[in-house]
Order: sequence, then C-alpha cells, then structure tokens
Amino acid sequence: MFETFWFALPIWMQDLLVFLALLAPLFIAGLICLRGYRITPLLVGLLRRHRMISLTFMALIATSVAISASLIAQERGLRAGTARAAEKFDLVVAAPGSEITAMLAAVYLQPSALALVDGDTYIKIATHELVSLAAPLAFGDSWNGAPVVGTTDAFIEHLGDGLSTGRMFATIDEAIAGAAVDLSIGDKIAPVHGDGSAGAVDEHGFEYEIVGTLPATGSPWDKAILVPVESVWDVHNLPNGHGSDWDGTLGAPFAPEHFPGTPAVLVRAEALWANYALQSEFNTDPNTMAFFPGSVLAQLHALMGDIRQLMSVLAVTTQVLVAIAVLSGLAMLSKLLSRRLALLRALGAPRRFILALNWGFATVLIVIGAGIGLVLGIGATAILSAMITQRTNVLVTAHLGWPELHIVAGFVSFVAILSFIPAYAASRRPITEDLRT
Amino acid sequence: MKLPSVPVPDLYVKDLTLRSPEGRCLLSIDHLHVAAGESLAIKGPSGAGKSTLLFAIAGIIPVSSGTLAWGDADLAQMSDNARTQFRRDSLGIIFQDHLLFEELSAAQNSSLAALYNRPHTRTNIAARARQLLHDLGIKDHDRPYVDSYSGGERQRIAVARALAADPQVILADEPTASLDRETADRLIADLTRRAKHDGRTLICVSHDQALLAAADRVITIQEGCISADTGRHRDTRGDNDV
Ligand SMILES: Nc1ncnc2c1ncn2[C@@H]1O[C@H](COP(=O)(O)OP(=O)(O)OP(=O)(O)O)[C@@H](O)[C@H]1O
Ligand SMILES: [Mg+2]
Repeated sequence: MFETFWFALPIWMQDLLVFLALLAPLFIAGLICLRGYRITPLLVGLLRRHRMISLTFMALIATSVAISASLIAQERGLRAGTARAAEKFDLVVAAPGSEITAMLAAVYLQPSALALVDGDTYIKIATHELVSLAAPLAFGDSWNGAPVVGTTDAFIEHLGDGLSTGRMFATIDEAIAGAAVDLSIGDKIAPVHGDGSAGAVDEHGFEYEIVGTLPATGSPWDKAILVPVESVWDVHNLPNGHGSDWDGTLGAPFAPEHFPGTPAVLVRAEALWANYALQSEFNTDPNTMAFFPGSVLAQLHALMGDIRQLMSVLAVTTQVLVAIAVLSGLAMLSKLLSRRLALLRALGAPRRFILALNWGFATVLIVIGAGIGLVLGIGATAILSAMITQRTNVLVTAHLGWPELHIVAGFVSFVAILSFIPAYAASRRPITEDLRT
Repeated sequence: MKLPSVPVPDLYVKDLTLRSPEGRCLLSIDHLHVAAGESLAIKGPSGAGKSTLLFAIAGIIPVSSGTLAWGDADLAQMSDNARTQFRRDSLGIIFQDHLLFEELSAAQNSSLAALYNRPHTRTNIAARARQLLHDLGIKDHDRPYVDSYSGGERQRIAVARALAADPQVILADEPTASLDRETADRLIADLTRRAKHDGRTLICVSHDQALLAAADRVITIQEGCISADTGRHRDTRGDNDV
C-alpha cells in the first residue's frame, strides 16, 4: 500500500520527502521546546555578545559539512564523468592482457605499453559481418603534452558526431585537433615520440597541418590531436597499411601484409546484441581480448563504491566529532551565560524557557553553520571538479545533490537533538550560586 | 492596561532558618507577617542578610526549615518550578546590582517578562514597560545596548522591568542606591503609591532615610535575625484595614 504510493511518486518528490523526514526531528523538537516562548531577542543578543565564539563554532560546522558534502558529490561526479568519457567506446579489442590497462590507454589516453593486434587479426575484425566500425587506435606520440593518436576518419566522425570546424584530414600530413587543444586551423605541429615528459625531444621531423577541430566530448580526447593512422606508422618507419600501389586514400581497406599492428581497435556494431556476440567471439580468439569499457568501468566503480561508503562513514564521523566539540564548547559557554540564565530564572522564567534558549542558541549555530557549509560545499565542489578536469581531462561536473542534502539534514537533526543534553544541564543549574557570582 | 492578577496574599514567616551550603546560619527569623498592601523597609549593616531574606521571600533561595508562606502557599514546601511560577505570576524584583542584559535595549530589558509569559499578556507587558520607562525618565528605549546608560538610568530600567508585568508584590534591593535625590524621591513616591493606592505589597531593602520614612514599617536585620520592628504594625491575620 505505502510502497505502491511511494514508488508512484516522482524521484525528486521522494528525495524531498526524505529530506523533510530527516529534518522532522529538528522541527518537532523545536516546536515542543519553543512552544509559547519568544527567544529571538535574547538569542540575537547572545549571538551578538558572543559573536567570536559563535562565528568560530559556525565555521567549524561549516567546514566539516562542506568537506563531507563536496567529497561525496565529487565522487559521484567523477563516476558520471568517467562513464560519460567512455560512452563512445562500445567495444575495444586489444592484444590479450589487462583490460584495465587497455581501457586506460584506449579510452583515457593514459600512456602505457600495449602489445599489438596484428594485421591478420585486424582484417578479421574489420571484415566481420557484424562490425560497422573497426578503427585502429595508435598511441605513442605527443605534441606539447597533447597525445597524438593515429586513427581513421570514421572513428573521428563517430567520436565527435562530426567536426565543429574545418574538414576531415584528406592527406597523410593533415590533422584534427581536439576541442581543448590550443591549436586552430592552419597551425603546424611536429610531434615527438613518447608523451614529451621525459624532456628527451625526439622529433620525427614530420609536420602536420591542422585542418579541422572536434567539438568538446568531455573526455581526454579533447586534449588529443588525431592524425591519419598511416602517418603514425610512416614516421616510425613501418609499413603504412597499404601496398606499394596505394593511391594515398586514407583509411580502410588495409592490406594485412602491410599492416604493422595497432595497440587497440575500437569496434562498433549497429545492434546491441551484435556487440555482445562480437565480444564473446573476439574473447575466445587467443590472439585478442575484447571488452566493454563501460562494464570494466562499472567494476572499478563498484570497487570505488566501497571506498565511497568508507568515505561517507568518515565524513559523518568527522561531522559528529565536530558537533560534539561544538556542543562541549556550548556547555562551557552556558557556564559563562549562567548568571544571565540564573537571572532569568530569578525573574520567573520557567526551566523550559532556559532549555529553549540554550537549545535555540546551539541549533541556530548548527543550522546556520550547516547552511554556510552547503554553500561552501557547492564552491568547493566546483573548484575540485575543475581541478580534476584539468588534471585528467575527464570532464567532471559535480553538483551538490540530494544525497548530500540528506546527509546534512540528518546531521543537523541529530546534533540538534544531541544539543538538548547541554541545554538540559544548563536549565538544571542552581539559581542562587550563579546569581551571586 | 490592566493585566489579569491574583489577589495579593499576606506573607507569613515562622521559625525560618536558612543555611549556606557550608552549613553556616545565614537567616533565622522567628516570626514575620507582612500584610497585603503593606510597605515594608528592611535595613541593617552590610552582610547582615538583607538580600538573603529578600531572595528567600522570593523563593529564589530554598529555605532550610520553617514556614515561608504567601497566603496559603508555603514556599518551603513548593517545588522549584512552582516557586518560579509564583515569581512569574506575582513578583516584581529589583536586584541590588540591577542585573540587566547588556546586549539588549532598555525596552527589551524592561519587557523581558513578555518573552516567557503567556502569549496574550505580551503586548500588555511590552506597552506597560514602555510607559514605565517613559514615566521614569528614560529616553531612547531602543538604543541597542543597555550598557551605554548611566548607573542611575540602569537602575530605573531595572525598576521598569520589575513593574512591567504589574506584579502583586514588589521586592526591591536598594532601589535608590545609585539615584540622585530628586529621582530617588520620585521613585520612592511612585513605589509607595503603588502599595497604597493599587494595594500592592512593597518590600524594600534600603538605607535611604527617605525610603525608610515613606514605608509603613521598618525592620532591622542583624546577623540574620530581626533585631527591631517599628512602624504601623498590622500583625494580625486577616486584618486588612490601614
Ligand atoms: N551561598 C552563600 N554561601 C555562603 N555565604 C553566603 C551565601 N549567600 C550569602 N552569604 C553570606 O551571607 C551574608 C549575608 O549576605 P547578604 O547578601 O544577604 O547581605 P546584605 O545584608 O544584603 O549586605 P549588603 O548590604 O552588603 O548587600 C554575607 O556574609 C554573605 O557572605
Ligand atoms: Mg544586599
């Protein structure tokens, strides 16, 4: 009954209801405790009088909330970003080895040494009846830190769903720049061997001219320069995939006896089932290994899921520790306030009023602190996302979402309930001693 | 601007002792009766126990033994909550050292009772507090911090606070101590008028001769005991005529 009702609700409504349910203890407790009283003038007075302490407490709470909220949001953003970056890579075929290494190299362009898929195997893949796209991906060169990858025009079309400016390369010395590469049409580049980090400048003495640029894909490929695969083989003094009668037309078909090998082949079939069929077929072939980057990533994410849980636990623990520190601070502060509280009691204020005042004070600090923390968290998340994007070229757009709001709401409620302890203690202090001091 | 009020009860004290937490005897009063509507002044040397007596009468300090009753309600037998409620409903207290909230304005200080009293009394209390501040000659009531007022002004704000809820009983500890003669006289006249005309009971600790002279009756406290009791005695139960 409840379940059918619940699952009929839109997701955002479910999230909102969970959020409100988590805040409910705070509101109910507040309603019961504050009913019939006006504590605002005294509260504002206390906050003003003890503004340094109040600000410090709020800053502590804000920091812990910001850190945990942005960490959790970041982790989610990272997962979404890495998954998005792998979207265009339906099936990757490589020489047998580590799937993760092959995925990091092919999808995220991390430099690594991969064994090669030979010409016969490549031709077998490319001519398979189910295959609609089989693009060799040849890594190893770079220009100014940007990877230079040899491939075919079909792959580039697939990767960017077309170019954003210019035209496709037509000759061996033309290149396409990724969206984040600082090159424009007409620029000339001379790639070096390796990723350029060792400082050993080993120029091939071969120049490309940029003739087109790709739209942004949110993946490391935005930082790549794509060149005809023939040219990569050429500059490494390898056969260029075509026979001696080659007329200079780039791309398939390649001749197996002139095919020097490629570290990875991106394979696509039109139908989803066909992709699965291809994967199992190439996986049973002893010369190749075929995998879906998406599912390798899912395994990695599952692994990260455990870390995320650990992180959530750590985040919550930190928050609770900070809250306890703040509450003990407040307990000490209420000693400072004891004369005022005793005076209120002497004038006839009920115990519950003292309780309400103390609790209200703590809760205002917690709620405002958590609110500031969320705002800081949004900022921190944006900055962290930008940093990760900058470093990995995987576009990470993390936003604070419901999970963070839920954690913060639960935290606020929990600490608000907890702060009844010092508030209650303050309301039980003897009047006379406190009034005389 | 009348607030709902319970009739003023008499105060009966019998065989009252009050000890400090260390066990030292601070007060020992065999017998004291203050009729409703009477004005009583308490004098005595410093440290004699005048403030202690006032606190006991207010139910702020629990008594060690004996009877301390307002009408039928014996504070000595009451719970802390009940004594607090009694203060809230029936008492206005002016403390020796004013005890104002520095972080609040004069208006907020004097209408403090509105914050915890029943919601329907709030506007009345606040309006009375403003009127009292005005009558007592306090200007700009909304200055954010009360500590910018002079000692005498602060004392008058404390008076306004004590009277804002129109209490049946007014307890005052040296209410004229930091006032100039003229202001003090005005305050004395005002307090005694409340007792005489409005039937409020007034119990004041004071050394101020003018106040002592204006009171119906003066008792002297020495080392926690009543050593003298002068003035128009009205020491019979139920006798209410002046
Ligand atoms: N809680 C307490 N513990 C121990 N001694 C106390 C306590 N409260 C009051 N006293 C002592 O009781 C005595 C009476 O104090 P009280 O404040 O009533 O004096 P007082 O007559 O009001 O003096 P003054 O005119 O200076 O205000 C003082 O000696 C004081 O030190
Ligand atoms: Mg005194």
